[in-house]
Amino acid sequence: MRDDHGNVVGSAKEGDHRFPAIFAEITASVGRVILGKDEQVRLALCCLFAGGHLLIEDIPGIGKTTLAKVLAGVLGLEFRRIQCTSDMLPGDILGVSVFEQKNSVFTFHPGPIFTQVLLSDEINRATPKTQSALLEAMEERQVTIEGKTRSLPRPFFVIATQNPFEQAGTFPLPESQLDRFLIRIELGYPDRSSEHDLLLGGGTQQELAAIKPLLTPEEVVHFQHQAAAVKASDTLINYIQNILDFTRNDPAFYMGLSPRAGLNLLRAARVWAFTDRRNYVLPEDIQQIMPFVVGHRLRRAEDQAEMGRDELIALLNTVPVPS
Amino acid sequence: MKTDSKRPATSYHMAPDSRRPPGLRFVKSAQGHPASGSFADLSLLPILWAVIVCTLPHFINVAWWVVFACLFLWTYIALAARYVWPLPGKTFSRMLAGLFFVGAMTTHEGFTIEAFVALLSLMVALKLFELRSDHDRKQTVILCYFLIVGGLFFGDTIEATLYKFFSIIFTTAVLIHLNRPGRGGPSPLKLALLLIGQALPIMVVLFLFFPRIQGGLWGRTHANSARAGFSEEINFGSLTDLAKNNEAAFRVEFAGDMPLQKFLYWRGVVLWDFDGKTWRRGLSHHTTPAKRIKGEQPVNYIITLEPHNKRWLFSLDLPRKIDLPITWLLNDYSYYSWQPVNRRLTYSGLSYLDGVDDSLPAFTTEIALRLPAGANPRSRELAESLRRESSSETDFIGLTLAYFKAQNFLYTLNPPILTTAADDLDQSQIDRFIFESRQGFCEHFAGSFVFLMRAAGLPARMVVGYQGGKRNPYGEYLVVRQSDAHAWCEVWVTDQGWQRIDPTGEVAPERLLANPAQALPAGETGRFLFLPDLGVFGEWLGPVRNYWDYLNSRWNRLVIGYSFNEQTGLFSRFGFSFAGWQGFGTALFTAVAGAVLLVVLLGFFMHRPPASVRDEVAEAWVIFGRKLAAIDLPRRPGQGPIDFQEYVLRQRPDLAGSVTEIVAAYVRLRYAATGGSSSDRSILRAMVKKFSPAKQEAV
Repeated sequence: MRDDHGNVVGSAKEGDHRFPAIFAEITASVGRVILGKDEQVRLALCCLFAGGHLLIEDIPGIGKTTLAKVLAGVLGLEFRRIQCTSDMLPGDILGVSVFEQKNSVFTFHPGPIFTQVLLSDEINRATPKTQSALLEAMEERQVTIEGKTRSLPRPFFVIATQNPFEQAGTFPLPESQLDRFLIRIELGYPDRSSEHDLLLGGGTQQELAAIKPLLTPEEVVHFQHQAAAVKASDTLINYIQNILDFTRNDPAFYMGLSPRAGLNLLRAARVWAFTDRRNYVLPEDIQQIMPFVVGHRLRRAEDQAEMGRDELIALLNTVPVPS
Repeated sequence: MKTDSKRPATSYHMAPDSRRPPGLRFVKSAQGHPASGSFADLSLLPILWAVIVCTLPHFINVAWWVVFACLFLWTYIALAARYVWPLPGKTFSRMLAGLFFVGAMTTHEGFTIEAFVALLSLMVALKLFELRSDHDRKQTVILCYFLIVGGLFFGDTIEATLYKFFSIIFTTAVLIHLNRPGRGGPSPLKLALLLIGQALPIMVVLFLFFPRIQGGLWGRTHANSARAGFSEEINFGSLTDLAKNNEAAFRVEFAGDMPLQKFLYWRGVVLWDFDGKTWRRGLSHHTTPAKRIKGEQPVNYIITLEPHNKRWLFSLDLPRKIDLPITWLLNDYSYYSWQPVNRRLTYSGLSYLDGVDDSLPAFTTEIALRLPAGANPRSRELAESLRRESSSETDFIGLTLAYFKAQNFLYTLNPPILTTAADDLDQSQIDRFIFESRQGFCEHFAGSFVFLMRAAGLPARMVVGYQGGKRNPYGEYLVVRQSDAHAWCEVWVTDQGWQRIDPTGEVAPERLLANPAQALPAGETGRFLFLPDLGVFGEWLGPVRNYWDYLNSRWNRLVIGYSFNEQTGLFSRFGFSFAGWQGFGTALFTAVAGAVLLVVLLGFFMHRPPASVRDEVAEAWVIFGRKLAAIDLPRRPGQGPIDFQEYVLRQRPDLAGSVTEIVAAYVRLRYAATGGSSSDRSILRAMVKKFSPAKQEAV
């Protein structure tokens, strides 16, 4: 019942049958550039197709930017990048109106946020003011500047990165802002053989250049809609509620999951099931994506520190699956 | 967790939690209704429907303009909501309300129940224009309950009661809908049914044990209980109108065998006075009580009399007694009640088919011979000549009957009008009937016959009541309808007493055998949907009609007619005596305690958490898990079905076939399909039942 990738295989009864195949193709395509990070690639894609935003926490030089670029390239999306610094202002991201003397009018110059895939590098270096301007735009998918509301392109996908180890001169994202990211992943060091290949292969730039778009932006939106229609049965909803209740009542947690966390869990699980050629969600889907969806939202009660992935899985595995 | 509803409605807000001070608890606050005052409001239509459902049955009781006003207001509000039409202002509404009040009070004969029901219907219709807040909406729906209660004044038939139940359930469903708009859970209708279902046992207990007030089921005589029936004055033609009426007059159950149809003379009023045109009771003899008659053929029966708003009661000819308080048996063996029969009465009676009234006090002789002077000379002549020909009184009666038979009289529902130019002050109607038209209904024959008897010097009187009736095979009872109305004569024969003579029987003998209509000329039934006219359809409809009548009679006897007496009987069966109020108190206390106990027990049994609602799929899955746990392959609580399957198959690849099948069926039912059909569920159950993994031997 599982294929080579360890995915649960069922039968997709309806919907677009192309998606799982294309998804696999995209994963493979990205995997040729990002070596040995299949799971993270799959999660990033899942996050994108669920219409959420991705947070990558890791040290520099791991391939975050490459990942973002590859994703944008494969999906045929427009890509931009901001390097966050402490002297950055919201206008630098959103755009500004500039007075043109020739015509005596203000003309709006859209900022880098008007794109389809936005890499916001080292977001924790930006000041809270700039952070919240960015995060608000992420949530609303529109930007209001000088009283005028402008919609962002669709799809709109933000990949934010932060370095958890350098603390000097940073403004760590507060919990409420972390909650806005659908999935958080860590890339981590590549394993030995992958790194071997990486070193052997040399320039990722060439690989990057060879990437061909496999989808159009319209198709991305289409698959997003299809994934949102994947069936979540009553029993499954009950299971999600069991999880939410558990985090809210168990003394191990500093605070429980928000309803938004529950919604995000379901959203991500739907895509996860969809990539598995199923048009319904199984508890296993929830279990597989759960650490990445709730990891950045839960803290240990004693020291208010984040829980390790294994600790989290061990705790959440005690939540009963309704029969 | 309490939410402050006065605060602006926010989707979520923090609620304090003592255990974890900074902990966020997400509490859904009461959702505010969509902008009120707008008529694109989704709750209008359900409310409108509830109002319509509850007002409709009143339309037959109120004046026609009320019907039109209600229909207009409903249509306007429905269209106004659709096309955003202007709504009347406060002043206009108030003026309209005032106008309605005056209108309702002036067109319904003053402050009657009808007037108030009409007013209520109109005001509720007006209220629909003022649905500004949630409070208004609920108030309007609650007013609908008053409309339903108002219906109790008008009808307690099975149909009306069923409709009341329907409207209560519907209104309750609307009220539930208003209280939780767009919320999940069971549908409002389902919940309303459940609520009413839970209230039913309490209703039954209260019905049986709550002290009865004398009266109808709802304690009030019905506003529209004025039914058809004959009056105290009989003209030629009075009964023909009645014969076209198919309403039931009363129903009779016999204690033993039903007497033959031709003996079923239901005595009502005895008419003595004749002024040449109209027969009347006359009043002088009423105080004399009748003698108790004796006979050999007693008949015991129970009559359920429909209200007819007159004081007389019916009994089988000739009655000895009836069991009904405050009634009088007059000396002409007619029964009178102390008040008009304006509600359904049930009483038992004893009659003797062979009983004879053998009393003729001196003063009645005079009344029984009195005739208007100079009227109907030809009839007098006929009577005298027949009397001269006859050898005895009995012979004279026989000759007169033979005359009727020989002269080709016609029994018909449509006799020609006998009153002509009225130049002779209608003093020759009988002459005209006997010698000219020769067409008449029973009152023509009976009236003429009495006239002839009196003219010949034999005391005679006319008896009006019913003859025959139709047996209902379902309940073994007899239905006597208005169309069975009949008039016959009683003639005093020396040494024999009053003899019942029915001249109609001579002219149309079929009248006494089965159906009065069969005695009529072809095509002259005069009734809508008269069965024999309908051919095959009539044959099919006959049993249906009989059964429906049977249901109604049971309903009337057992539910509507459940009175103080029956209640007393029921109590005494449970060992409570009604010696004074003490016994009554005990009974009431026991009943209330019983009702409370019942409610508590019901609550206990019906208020189980919804999780324990039988879930076949879950049951099967649990059993499947238990069977595997028994062979040391337990499922972790947090293990999903596919993980569990993999775990099992890793340990026991030999079970692959059945486990894969069961897990696939379970996943299909639980996660993939919407509920799954019952056959899918039973297949899963059967597979799990069959599944019996053997414990693997330790290698």
